[in-house]
Amino acid sequence: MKYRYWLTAARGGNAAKRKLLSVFGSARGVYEAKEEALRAANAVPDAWIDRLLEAKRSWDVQKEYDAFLQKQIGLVTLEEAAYPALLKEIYDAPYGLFYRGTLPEGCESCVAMVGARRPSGYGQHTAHAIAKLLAESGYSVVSGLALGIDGLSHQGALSGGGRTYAVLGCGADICYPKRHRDLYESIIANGAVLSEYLPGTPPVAEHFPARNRLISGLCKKTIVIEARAKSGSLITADFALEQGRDVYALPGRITDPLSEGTNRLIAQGAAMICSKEGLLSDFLELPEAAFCGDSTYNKKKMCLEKEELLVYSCFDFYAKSMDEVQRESGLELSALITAVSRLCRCGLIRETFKNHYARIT
Amino acid sequence: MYSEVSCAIVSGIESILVRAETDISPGLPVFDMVGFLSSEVKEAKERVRTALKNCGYNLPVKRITVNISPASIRKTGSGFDLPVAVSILAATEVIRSAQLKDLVMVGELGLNGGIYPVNGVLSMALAASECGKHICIVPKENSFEASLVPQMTVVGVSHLTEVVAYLNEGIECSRKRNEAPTDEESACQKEICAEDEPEADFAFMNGQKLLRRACEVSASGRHNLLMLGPPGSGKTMAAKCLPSILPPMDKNEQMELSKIYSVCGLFAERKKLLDKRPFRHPHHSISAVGLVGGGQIPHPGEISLANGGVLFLDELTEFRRDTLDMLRQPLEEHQLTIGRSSGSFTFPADFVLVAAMNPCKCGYYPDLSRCRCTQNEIDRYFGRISQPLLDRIDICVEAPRLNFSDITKKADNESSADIRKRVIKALAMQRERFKGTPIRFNSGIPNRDIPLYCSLGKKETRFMEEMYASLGLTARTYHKLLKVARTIADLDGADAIGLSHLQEAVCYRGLDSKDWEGVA
Repeated sequence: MKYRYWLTAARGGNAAKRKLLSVFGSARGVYEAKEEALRAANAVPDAWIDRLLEAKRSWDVQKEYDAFLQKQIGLVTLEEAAYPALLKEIYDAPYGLFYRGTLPEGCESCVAMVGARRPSGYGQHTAHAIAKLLAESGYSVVSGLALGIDGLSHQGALSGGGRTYAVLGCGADICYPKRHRDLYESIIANGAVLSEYLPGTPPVAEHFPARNRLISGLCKKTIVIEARAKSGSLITADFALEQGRDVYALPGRITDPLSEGTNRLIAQGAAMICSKEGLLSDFLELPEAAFCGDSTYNKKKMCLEKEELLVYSCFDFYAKSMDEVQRESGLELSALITAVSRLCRCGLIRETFKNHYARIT
Repeated sequence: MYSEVSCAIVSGIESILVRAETDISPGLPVFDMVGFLSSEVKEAKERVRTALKNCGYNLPVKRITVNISPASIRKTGSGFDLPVAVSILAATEVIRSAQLKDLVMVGELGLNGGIYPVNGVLSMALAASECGKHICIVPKENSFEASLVPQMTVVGVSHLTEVVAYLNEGIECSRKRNEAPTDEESACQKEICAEDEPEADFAFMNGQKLLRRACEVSASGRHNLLMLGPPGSGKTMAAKCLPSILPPMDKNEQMELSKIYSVCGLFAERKKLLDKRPFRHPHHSISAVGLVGGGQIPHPGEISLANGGVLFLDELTEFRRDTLDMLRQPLEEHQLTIGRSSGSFTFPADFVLVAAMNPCKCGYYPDLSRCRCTQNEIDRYFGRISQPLLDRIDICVEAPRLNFSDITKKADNESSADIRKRVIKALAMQRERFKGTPIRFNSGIPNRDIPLYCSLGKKETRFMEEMYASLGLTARTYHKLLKVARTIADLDGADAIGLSHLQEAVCYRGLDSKDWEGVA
């Protein structure tokens, strides 16, 4: 195992490591191989071998491995069966993967969910709802622990009682962003945080596009909730397509900047999510009729009075300010405040920002 | 020969009468000034000597000693020139000393004997009147200020020779007794009023219904107000309108405010007491001393200049944090006490704080199609506001971007005068309620008295219980909410706080960092 840790930690491309592995059989084999043998294998460039030899010289394999064990972080490598099978398939799969928590099992089907760090109310609500539904139906959700859609997807999966995995752009022992400390711990308890970077690696911008390939690589299906025209989520979608995985995208209005990226994905051939239930039936390959609609909404709506219905109809999934609704409904301010307060209590709208409200359903 | 003249120095915003004494006795020809003098008062020696010479009075070749007593108070300001000159003239018997008994005089001398205005004349004249002095000789430019004091005879002078002429022969250049203004004068006053900047009025403000209402509530309960909104949404306009819906100032308030302005040298050549509630909007680069007052010889700051009116802090996040933190004590106590080795000075600071800020760095935050700030930038932006200051702001309201129809339509908006009527009614209810207690406004209800003044019915309690949990209120925010609800109920003329009042108060509740997390 200590040799595997050594090979994981050694600097160099994953493809080169895989090649060496195919020649020498195991990390130990690589470690113990003579310089001439390494060069003779002709698997990798000489510069790389120099670095490898340097890594061999400067590392006290046993000492470093003991220090690593102290950190209570798991390591799984390509040589082990526990390595996620889907990830093995991708080009540039990392040789070693650090993790905290428990790795997905072979039979577990994972779905990647990615999206904007600052989503709209519509995106927030949909991400949470879809993740929850997936979790309830036995899927695990893979995402990136970022703010916004990522975090909400994890939360949705957890609230659905499912498992969820977070792929980080920093060491697995670092929680980034810090705001997600609670979430980080609960993901470890109900899944795992994964990282190809050595423990202690700080979050650096260039790590994040690379970790996106692992998010899509772990799953057969990737869902993009909301993305601007130039969004990191689209990188994930590109990786998914390169890896031959399915991409689903949540459509939005053409005027919404946050739906620009997802709408374009649909135009390019990504599957469109028409409803939560439709999505699931697609996943399970069941007819859509197997699911019934959301009845709580209608029930809630039943108890509203005329004025409140009027106010409710003025609201949108995108937040509107009190003044805007006042103008549209033409109600007196005091009557409007009463209606808004009531709608909030019924859980039909919520305050997204100071004096801005958005529909929930 | 010995002589004595009364003059005054400003200490804080009050004034103290002091005496300038002169003694001329045989000895070497020296001109000495003593009495704990600051450098500008020491310089008076040269000004007085030259001015006297240029007016044709020669100093005797004797030992001249001037003492300004009591010697325990540090003398500052340029107003001692005239009294020192006059006391020397009295000691040399150019002026008869008997004339000087009921007099108080201040003024700065030029080398040619001209007399120039000084700050704080109103405060000095008030102090003089309290000490039973009924004649004031002041620089001509300050004479209106001094004449605002009842029962005061004011002699405005512009040259030293005029003073001598008045004292010896009773010839007055311009004498003013505080009488009812003549027709001519009142016409002149009206003209000056018309020259003033026209007051901002809510009638000229379109749209922003919620903001208008929040201003009304803020004025009615003297709640501090924070406005949040993109650039150009009318935050400054609303703040400027706020003084116009506060009730008119009574005579005492006018006098106190005028005194502060006089001490700060801002009274100018006004022809009456300041009768409009002040609106001060310091730039965000202001220093802590500039904002709250202070300095080696403490002088009032912007918060005192806003006494009885509105202190508007635009771009709240741009102010230095330590500057804003200085507001904490005055916001609680409505006055500021500054301690110095020379004593402690108390300045009034009874103002409504109105602050405005953008929701994020670029200003467009929940509009995600325009706002490009990252979450970190937004967190940092919010982190810049001082939490203790936020805790003292009861009402927080959003001022959304106006749309075209709001800007162009010619709506007959409610005018400030109409809103003011409701505000006065609400204030009357509060006066009635707080009779016999030190509380003046709803915003000042101490937490222990909240159950007494802001009791809730069963339905209302249940509502608040729900809100407490769902909004994540704390004890402090809960109390603030109740106080605001109390004011809204007062505006409604209701004795008990009802559900609708609470619901409205919930709309105005303060900011907290969570507001920025749940993106629009």
